[in-house]
Amino acid sequence: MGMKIYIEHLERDLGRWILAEYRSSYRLAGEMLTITGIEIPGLPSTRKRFYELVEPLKAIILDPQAPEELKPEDLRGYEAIVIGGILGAHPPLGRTKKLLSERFPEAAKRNIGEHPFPIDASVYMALEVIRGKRIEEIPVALGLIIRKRIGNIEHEIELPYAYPIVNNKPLISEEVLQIIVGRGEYELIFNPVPAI
Amino acid sequence: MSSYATISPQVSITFADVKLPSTLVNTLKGLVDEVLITVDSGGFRLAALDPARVSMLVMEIPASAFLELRVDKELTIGVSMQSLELTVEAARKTDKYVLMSDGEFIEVVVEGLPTRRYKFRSIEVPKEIPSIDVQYDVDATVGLDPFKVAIKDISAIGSYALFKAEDEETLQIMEASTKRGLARLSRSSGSLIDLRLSKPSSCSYEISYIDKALTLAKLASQLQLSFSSDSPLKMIFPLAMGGTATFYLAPQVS
Repeated sequence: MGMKIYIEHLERDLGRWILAEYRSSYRLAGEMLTITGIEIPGLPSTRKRFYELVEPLKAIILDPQAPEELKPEDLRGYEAIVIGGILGAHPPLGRTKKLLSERFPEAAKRNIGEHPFPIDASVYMALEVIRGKRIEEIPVALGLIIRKRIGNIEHEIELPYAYPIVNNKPLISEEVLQIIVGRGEYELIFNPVPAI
Repeated sequence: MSSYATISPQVSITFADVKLPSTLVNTLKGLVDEVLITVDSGGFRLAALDPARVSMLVMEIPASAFLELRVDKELTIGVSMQSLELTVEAARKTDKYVLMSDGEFIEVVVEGLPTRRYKFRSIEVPKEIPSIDVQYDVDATVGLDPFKVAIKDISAIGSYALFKAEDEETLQIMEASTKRGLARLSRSSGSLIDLRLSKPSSCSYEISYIDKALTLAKLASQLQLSFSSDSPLKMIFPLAMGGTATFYLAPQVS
């Protein structure tokens, strides 16, 4: 059986932003992905929790606070990578640790760099490692600035996450951008660096 | 990433959340085109006069009420309402609101997820705000909820409210032309906290303005009203965070 990716939904609600990240995750991972803890029409999802689908002993939880980084060789003997379905906070609240890592001590924990990633970006990082890449080989942008002009007003929106660079652009879905920026033209400002 | 400014600010004010800036915007939206903000080491002062010169808001907040207030040089800046409205549009309740200026530009940073930054030029606003030097014959302190109910009831009947005080026990508010919808705010009911009167007085004011001013009620727990016959109405909202918002409204022209 191939490696599965579970996004364990941990928010109370299903807001527009997190839903857009789930959709983007599905576009990236396809049938490898299941969203657990919530049923969402149109997405591979189930009300069951991830631990009802895979033994926690066979799962690797991605946690920014985990001391070890995820490596391709770590995946041997495991069946799934679990990502917290959490819309982050700034500064981070460590909810992945509280709600996932600490509740499943038997699961392995790994980080994908010290910076918090959006959910779909975490899925992309996990997929790249599954394909054999090392985290340090994946360029990321630490923080993203979206700049736009509204009449005489300069408007900048800062996103304090890490974004993998894909095709020379930070990986952020059009749907998420639409939610954050609204209508009109904008410019993305970012600085690519290695994830570690 | 969020704490930097693209200007070299001479003043910087940090509001713990967006409650005050958004209430201010909601109060002034549609009423004024621009506001005048003065920041010095003592605190923040905002003055706004509507183009018809019917109403005026003066808000004064001491430095101690802010999360942080930094002043290198006292500044008075003109801010367009359109710009101010934009800064609170996408803000969430818990976002921190930082207003900075170097005199020429104003930069607002709404710190949250995401952090939003707005930069715009300060505008020319007449610095002379009319001083309203009136000896009021009635000074009353009322509970906000009963006052809001009275205004709401009267607004269903007409456009002007008549304020009337004949003794120190009761403040009467009613629809100005028909005298219907009478609300008696009295000490005995607890809706009137205090009333001092030097002369029996009555005067009518446009309800739509009072209604706008009552948006400020979110920031206060009581309201001080002052009026005299044929004089402006003064509504003082003592702010829970410290300081006051004072709204002046011209009397109905008979």
